Amino acid sequence: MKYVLLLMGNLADDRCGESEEAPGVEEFIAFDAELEKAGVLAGGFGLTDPEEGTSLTRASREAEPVITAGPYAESREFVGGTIVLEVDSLDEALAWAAKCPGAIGGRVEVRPMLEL
Amino acid sequence: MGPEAAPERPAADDVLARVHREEHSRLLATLVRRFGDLDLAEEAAQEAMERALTTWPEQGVPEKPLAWLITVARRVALDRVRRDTTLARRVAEMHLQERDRAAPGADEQALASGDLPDDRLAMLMGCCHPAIAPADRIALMLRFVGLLSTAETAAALLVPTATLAARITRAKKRIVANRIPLTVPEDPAERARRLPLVLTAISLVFTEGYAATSGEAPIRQELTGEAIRLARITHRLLPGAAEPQGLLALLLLNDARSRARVDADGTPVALQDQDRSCWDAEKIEEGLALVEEAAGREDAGRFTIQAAIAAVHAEAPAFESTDWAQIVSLYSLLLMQGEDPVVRMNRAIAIGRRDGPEAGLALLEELEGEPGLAGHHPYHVALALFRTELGRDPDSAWAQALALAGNAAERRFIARRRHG
Repeated sequence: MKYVLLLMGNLADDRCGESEEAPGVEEFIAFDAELEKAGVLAGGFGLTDPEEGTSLTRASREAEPVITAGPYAESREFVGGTIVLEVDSLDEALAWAAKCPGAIGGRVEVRPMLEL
Repeated sequence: MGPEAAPERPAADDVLARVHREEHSRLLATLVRRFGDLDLAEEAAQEAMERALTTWPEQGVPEKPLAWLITVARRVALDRVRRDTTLARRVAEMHLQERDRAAPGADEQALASGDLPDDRLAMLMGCCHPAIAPADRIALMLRFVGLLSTAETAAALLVPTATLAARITRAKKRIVANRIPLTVPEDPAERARRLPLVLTAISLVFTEGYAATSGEAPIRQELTGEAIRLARITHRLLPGAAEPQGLLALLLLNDARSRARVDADGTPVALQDQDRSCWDAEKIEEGLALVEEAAGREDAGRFTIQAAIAAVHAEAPAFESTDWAQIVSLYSLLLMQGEDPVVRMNRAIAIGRRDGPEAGLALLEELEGEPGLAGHHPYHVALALFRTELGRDPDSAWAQALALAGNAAERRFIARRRHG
């Protein structure tokens, strides 16, 4: 079964590698290698800083798109990246999430992937 | 395997009633482990129980009723899975995992010998998974391990039945969608984190049995027995931990009083009026030995302290000779484990016994309006009794207590204390 780890960051916090406390890029690379070695890595991607993003929204089906620079202003949280795991149970997914550098000072949301 | 007919055995109705009480939850837990699906397990367990009800009176009770039920339930589930491909895929995946973990054929051997493992602790630990919302954990346990009906579970948790039904549906959906394992965690640290939640749920099952929220009977033996059994299993599985031992002691010491706690017409009898010679000496002896050992352990917590309080009562030859000073200190210790208005109330009552009704009433009145006590009838009974002792007007407190009583027996109890 596939679970997605959503690596959530907070806009107010230090970014990846910016301080001693924040986990660095090399920690994420090492974690990826560990997942690969265990044979549970089934995909994922890292993202550039949330400020680099562009938001687009349409209030309704008929409405024109409204484009704004940067992340959604109402939310302090942003997705920094994702990791897709292929494991047997939530317990296994949670055990990996506990080892994920993104959990330190941030938040890892574990979501089952919708099977269609 | 067909039913092994044995017509000379006791009447099918009796055995079925016993099986229903004692083994239905075991059957359900075993089916959940086998199928990994709560709905399928529930449906199959129900169907197997119904078939037993029609088959056993005609063909006799099988020698191993639980094994018979599991076999029938498995056939029911197979039929159901054949008709539903989505379900079939899910169960097949669970089955493959199961084979990785356990030796193949182990279940079949156990079935044949009748020496079946008790899967209910796995259910309890599974229901307490941290990925399940706290309010849902206890609801699931009461429902699937305690086997309370949805209405009884709702009453035990003081929520409307519709709310509880929705909560259970949501929790089941979450278990399936996230594939939450309903198993005993292998990691000892995780087991330790789950334990307090499991113990709380077991104590709630006991409470529900001890002071039934619906119907006439104030004590339902099967529920208190079930809670003691679960506490025993938990203690056996974790022999080095204080709290499962403390909980088992607490339940035994409370249960020991059950015969004296109700009179011939089912009305509860207050502790001070109980015939102590009716207390079950064997259960008290076991409970005292357990609490003594648990209290000496470093990880002794709130269940062990509560058991120590029950032990002080059990050791007093008469109500008048109760060591109230000791009880007050134990309640103070219990408050240090966490704020709890009911504990504060009990401490106030104990202080009233130690220092006189004036002191007790003052402390109880300080708690007036406390949300956790406003709907709790023993609080209003205690207020009324202290006011009566002091020659003050107890009527409004008696009226409140009566309005809050959950069943007819409790209403008779309140009326009797008022006039006794």
